Amino acid sequence: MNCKEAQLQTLQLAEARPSAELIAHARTCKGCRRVLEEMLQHQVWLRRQFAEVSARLLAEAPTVTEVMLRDRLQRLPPPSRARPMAWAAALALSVAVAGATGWYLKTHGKSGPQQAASAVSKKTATNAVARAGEKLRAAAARAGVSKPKAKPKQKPRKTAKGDEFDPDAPGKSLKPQPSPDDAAVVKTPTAAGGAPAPAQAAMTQPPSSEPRSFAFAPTDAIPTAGGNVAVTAQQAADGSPGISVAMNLHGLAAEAAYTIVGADASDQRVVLADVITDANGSATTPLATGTLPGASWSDAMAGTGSPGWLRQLTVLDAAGNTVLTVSQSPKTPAQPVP
Amino acid sequence: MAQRDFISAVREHQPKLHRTACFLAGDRREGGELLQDTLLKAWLGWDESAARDPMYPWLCGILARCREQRQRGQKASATKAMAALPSDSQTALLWELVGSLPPRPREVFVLRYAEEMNVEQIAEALGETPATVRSRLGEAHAQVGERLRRAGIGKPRP
Repeated sequence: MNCKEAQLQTLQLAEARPSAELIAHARTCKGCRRVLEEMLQHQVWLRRQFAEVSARLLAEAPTVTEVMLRDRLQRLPPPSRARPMAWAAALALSVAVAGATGWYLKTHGKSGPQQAASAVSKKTATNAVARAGEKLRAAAARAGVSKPKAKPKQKPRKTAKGDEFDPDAPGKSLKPQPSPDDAAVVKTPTAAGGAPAPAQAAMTQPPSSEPRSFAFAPTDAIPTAGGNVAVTAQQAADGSPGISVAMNLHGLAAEAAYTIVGADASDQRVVLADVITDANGSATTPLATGTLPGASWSDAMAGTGSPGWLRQLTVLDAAGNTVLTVSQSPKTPAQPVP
Repeated sequence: MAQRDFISAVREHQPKLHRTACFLAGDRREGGELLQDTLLKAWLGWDESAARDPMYPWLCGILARCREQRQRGQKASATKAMAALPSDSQTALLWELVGSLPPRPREVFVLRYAEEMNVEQIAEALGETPATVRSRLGEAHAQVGERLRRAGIGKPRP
């Protein structure tokens, strides 16, 4: 035993008699002997004082009766007794809120982390998915496609001719006013595929913040299915023009997985998102397309020129059958400024 | 055993428990409150503890927990203890020493000297390991020893 161990053992001395090892060390070490002697004298003093005070306290000890305990129990403040119940209520409330939130997200088809991860892994989503989420939802709301339950009774915003937008369509009055900034950054390909001058673009392009809505047409696979696509322009983080799309689907099989595919500039099929319908067979999903090949505003809105992915937007079921397609190429409502 | 039998079962422990409560609280009045808190908790949990033997370490454990709960809203004051207890200078010094200890070392210290429990009994009462009890006792001894040394108590023989 060295001095450090001896002094530690002395400090932690709990018995009246030190261990033989400690005593043996104290005989050979003057410093440790002094510390041990001091500790033993302190203990003697402590025991004596504790004994004196204990005798007084024992003599004055009150007698606690059952009546006193019952009275004390009655005098407990209500929060003390109610605290366990309050905690239980808070826990139950939090569980209910979490459950309701999960149910809402599931039934309204908001893209969860798994869908988002899937979209990213398929190289169709962009890094702006998260940032675009709010814009997409706002665009969908402006275009009236965010509430699936209201959609089955909603007529497509087209005329009977099929290729014209109805100016009196619902939601028209909700469309925001054009922004000069948005118009300036949008470019329209010419018939030859070249880029027009900015001034020309400003005159011929639709306002970039103005959403457009397109209807899905069912196929023979599920004739009762339907849906809408809302497209709006957005400026990417790097300042480049892009578009974002939100869509809702209805009339599909309940709680079934569907894949939304488009086509890139070279007509190659591109998976845009995976959705799972709710118990009513509806789903709502945002799609961010800012960096998709061919996913320019002009392609999406005008539907002319090079193959636009929006014109080939398709919803496939799990077996790969086409259940919904965009029925026609949308036409830009914007007119050249005289 | 019914709750009605609780009082008779703890009757023999009440004075000692009151003494320990006073040491832990540093105040006789507070010690009385602490004793009632302790007995109330023991009374409410009496059914499940009916098989506990020995009973006193279990009561000491409840006492320590009750003290901890009560201490959250207040701080032990050595001056209050000195004012509350009629004592000579050495007794006052003892209360000052006990009152100046941190809560955990104080529990171990009081159980060791007031209750004269050994390390294993203290560990059982407080639900700690013997090593932890030794460590806290060492902490208490170091602080108390320094104060006693300054008071000129326990000076080693030359």
